[in-house]
Amino acid sequence: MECAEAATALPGCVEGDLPEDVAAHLETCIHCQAEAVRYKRHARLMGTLADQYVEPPADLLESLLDSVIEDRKHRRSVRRKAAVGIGGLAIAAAGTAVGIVVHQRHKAATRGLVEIAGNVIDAIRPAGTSDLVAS
Amino acid sequence: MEVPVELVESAKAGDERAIEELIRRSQTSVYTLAYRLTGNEEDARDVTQETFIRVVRNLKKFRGDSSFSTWLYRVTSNSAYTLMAKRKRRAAESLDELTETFEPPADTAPGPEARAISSDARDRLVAALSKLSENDRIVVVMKDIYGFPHEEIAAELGIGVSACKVRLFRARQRLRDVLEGDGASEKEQVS
Ligand SMILES: [Zn+2]
Repeated sequence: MECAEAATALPGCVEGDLPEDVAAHLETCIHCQAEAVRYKRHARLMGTLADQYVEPPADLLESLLDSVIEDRKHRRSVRRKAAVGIGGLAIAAAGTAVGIVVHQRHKAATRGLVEIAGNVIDAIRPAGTSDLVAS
Repeated sequence: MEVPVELVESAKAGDERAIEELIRRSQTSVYTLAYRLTGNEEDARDVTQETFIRVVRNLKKFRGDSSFSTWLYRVTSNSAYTLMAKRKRRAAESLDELTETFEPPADTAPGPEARAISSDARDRLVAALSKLSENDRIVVVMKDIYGFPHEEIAAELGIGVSACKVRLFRARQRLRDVLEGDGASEKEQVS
């Protein structure tokens, strides 16, 4: 095997991950051994960067906290709007239901109808959305 | 980075103060990885911001199968990769511009092993890292600095494990070329 052929796989020497023929070549080739030493040295040097912290800009923390708070607020409001949407659907459904009731019981007194409609709305209103439907 | 389990649990429960403390404690680690991956301050900032938004959104999904810091690093590298992929799609910035604007970071509190190695050697390494393509840099930073397994890096990049190894080896070769100069091996062979 030529050095040039071994070169592509040689960086695997860092974790001892070498094809057999490359490993065999390495045993006998001083040039590739020197290369292997370099790769291992670089990898060791890379490893030392793990505890070399890069100091963040002084204002980063504040902007991180701001953006996280902003995102939480935004997501809460999206959830609230979604809940209002469900509430709206509930009212629409209630309207339909009332229509059916009116059709079926058109002779009932107005007071009775309002009562029935109220009951229908209560029955189909999703739990926990009462304040949202009201607003 | 020290993030106690109790702090993570409180943050998961939605305790605003715990979330704040968690960000305070882990921002340097996240920023450092973001910086190593992107090679510049502005992108590192964006990645850090995106990371914490995702972390806080998904805290409830963190089950503790891995350590919190491993999870955090995973989200960070994912955010960095997303940013770079997005940029590549827009082709907004060339690699040349990135390397031109590169400035060596201000390192703090070196560990004993790191202190033994001259800061000059590390500065040269960091500068060499900035000369790699983004794809090569991600692989070599995640593997050789942070020790992520091939499988995880490959999954992150959406490539196979062998393609990931090819990329890693190529990145190490480029680093070697930058650090030693292309002719280093020949000179040594002669002497
Ligand atoms: Zn050889």
